[in-house]
Amino acid sequence: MTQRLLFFLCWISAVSFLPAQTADETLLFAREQLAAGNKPLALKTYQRVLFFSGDQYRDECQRQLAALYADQGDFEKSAFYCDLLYQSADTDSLRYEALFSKTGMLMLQNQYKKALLELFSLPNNLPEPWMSRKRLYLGAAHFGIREFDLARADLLPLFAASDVQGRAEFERLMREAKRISRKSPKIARVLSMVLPGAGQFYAGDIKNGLNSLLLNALLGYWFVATGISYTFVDAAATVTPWLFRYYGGGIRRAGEILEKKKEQRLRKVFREVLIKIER
Amino acid sequence: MKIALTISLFLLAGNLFAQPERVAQLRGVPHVKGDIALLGQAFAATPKPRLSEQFSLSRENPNELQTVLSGLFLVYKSFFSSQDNQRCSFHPSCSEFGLEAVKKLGVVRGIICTCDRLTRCNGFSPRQYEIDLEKRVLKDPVGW
Repeated sequence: MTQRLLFFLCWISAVSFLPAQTADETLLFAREQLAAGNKPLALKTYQRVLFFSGDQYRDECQRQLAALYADQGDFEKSAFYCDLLYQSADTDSLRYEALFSKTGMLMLQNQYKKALLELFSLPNNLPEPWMSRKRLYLGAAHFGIREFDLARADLLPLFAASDVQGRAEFERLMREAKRISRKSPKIARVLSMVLPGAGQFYAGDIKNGLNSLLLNALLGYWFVATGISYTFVDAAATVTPWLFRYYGGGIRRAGEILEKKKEQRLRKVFREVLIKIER
Repeated sequence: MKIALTISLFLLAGNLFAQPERVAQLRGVPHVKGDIALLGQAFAATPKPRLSEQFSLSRENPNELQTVLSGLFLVYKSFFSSQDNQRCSFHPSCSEFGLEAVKKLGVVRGIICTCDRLTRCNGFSPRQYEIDLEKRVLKDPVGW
């Protein structure tokens, strides 16, 4: 018992004199891990530095954590650290940077309306190039919520007045986006109601259109063949549940497919807009 | 001496001007190109995985019978299930359950289990099952 007590006292007194790793050393270690590509360990270490060092390395830690979480695909956490950085930033440039990063993270989660709300908090008289960045993000957010006229108004100033060809291409792409968004899922459903697969063809999905048409044609043939061979009451009892299952499915799917196709095409159009802006 | 002093002052001035630039880089200078890359990622096309990749279980077949069953499963998933109006109330769905059961339990026990599942897939007794909150369906894994 005495031995144990002595050992405990010695251990306690030794531990209290042992030098602990300082925040500087931990930060250095985090930087080394990041440079070496060991991102999971860098993330943990940056979190430790942020927790223990107080405000000393706050900005760097929050910025790196936001970048590391974005790298991992966890855009929600990345947006959280961008928000912390925005709130604690001591300069306007850092605050704007954090806000744009947060907006980008929100757009990566398809939260365009939230992104717009963030962007509205920026002043209207920003110096360049912050104003251009604001226009770019506003245009993207407006495009995301399918407000193409507003997106056009935001993005057009990003093209130089002398870039006539670029402006014309941009205008063409925005008209294309409007044309794509005009396609209605209701029309697709009605078309599929009239002729199975027609809604899918209208949406531009030939494979699914043919599939639906063929399947319903087969079930229709089965219905008629059963009606002729036996009675139409027998046909109704055996085939109708299947027919309605796939006929109804085709109608519902036509609307869903159109929405997905629209989304994909609009995304493609916006990527082309980005290429034009980059040029 | 004068030349050395001039060079020193020049280098010092260079360093003084370079410092804010470094700070700016650390804090993130405005970079529209980076924004375009980020937005390009946000508006990237969502890749549609192939059915055989989606159901990796249908790929590893130790014998011919399982190859045929996997093929039938993929045909059903591609041409029939994709057009269906109704949705299975369980996770895994009945077709996935069938394939998994045959793979895990063998042909005879797998088919018995699948028949049992098909009789239970009617939505009349949801209280007997745990709910998968993410997929909003009832949990019913393969088991003997």
